[in-house]
Amino acid sequence: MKFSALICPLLLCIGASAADLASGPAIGATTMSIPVMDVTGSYKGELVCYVCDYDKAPDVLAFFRDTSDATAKEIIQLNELYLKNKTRGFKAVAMIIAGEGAKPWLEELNRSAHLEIPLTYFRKGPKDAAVRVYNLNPAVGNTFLVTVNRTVVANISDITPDQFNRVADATSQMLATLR
Amino acid sequence: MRQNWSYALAAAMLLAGLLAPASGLAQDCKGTFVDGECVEGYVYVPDYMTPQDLKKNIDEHAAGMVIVDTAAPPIWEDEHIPGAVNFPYSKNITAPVPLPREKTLVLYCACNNEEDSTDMARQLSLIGYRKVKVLKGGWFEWLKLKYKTVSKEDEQKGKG
Repeated sequence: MKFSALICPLLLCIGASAADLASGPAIGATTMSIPVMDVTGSYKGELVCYVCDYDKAPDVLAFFRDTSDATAKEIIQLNELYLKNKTRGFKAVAMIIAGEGAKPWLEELNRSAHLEIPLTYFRKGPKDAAVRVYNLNPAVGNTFLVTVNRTVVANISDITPDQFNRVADATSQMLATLR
Repeated sequence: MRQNWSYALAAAMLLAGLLAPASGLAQDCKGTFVDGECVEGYVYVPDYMTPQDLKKNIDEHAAGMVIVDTAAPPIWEDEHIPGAVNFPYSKNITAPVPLPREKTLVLYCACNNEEDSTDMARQLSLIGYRKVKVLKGGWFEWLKLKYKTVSKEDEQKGKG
């Protein structure tokens, strides 16, 4: 009885971790450079690598499969997380996997929500090599990588806007270790 | 039996004598280890090559040069500078490194300020690579100049 009481939560925990890794690199992986098209950031209209640009800074690399109301809400939440922590050197970027078709939508979102984080898209869409570099699962809507010093410290994927607190909590935990 | 112990003790003392200076050196080094030697005040300064010079070298089939793409393998497979080999970015390069020491290495990355290639060049210099250059402007500058790029498939088909 005691044994099962100990093991069952452990298995649930492992199950949850496995679900979290449904998309994206494992915790501890080095983040590799990927070129993306910048739509609203300081390199607007150019190919840029925000992974390199942020380098060792604590950040969230957010990948979204496509544009949707849920994506818009999560990008706005990510921007709020950035505003809350930017004085601590925290960075964030949103990358739309769908490709160039997302550009007008990103521009409109930026206009209406007055975002500070850069909004970007994959130049070659879902066939972009970056999808393979980051092991992004086309079945999930989003993948959030919380990273510092070019290392993934948390990987949260396929969440709804109501679950964004998981990204915020992982970010807080990471920032707390940097004090 | 006693003689065996004496030999063992003498061997242990000899080994300790040989290792002590090396470990002492490691502890005493207040600088940076460069190719196994302690160098005080070492500061890595990247040695740049312009895209124009690299293109000229490629066009002239210059010998003694290896172009190194530090991107992840799928990125390199998709598109790279003709002839470039893939040596993906790592925060901690450890020897042995599969790159020739006697040739000039020209490293590039898809970074805005050559962050990855500069860091890799610095790490290679620490393990004894003396002829390492960083492509100024990297991959993005190469694309802006509309210089030729190839995929792994192109090269396998002989189009590179």
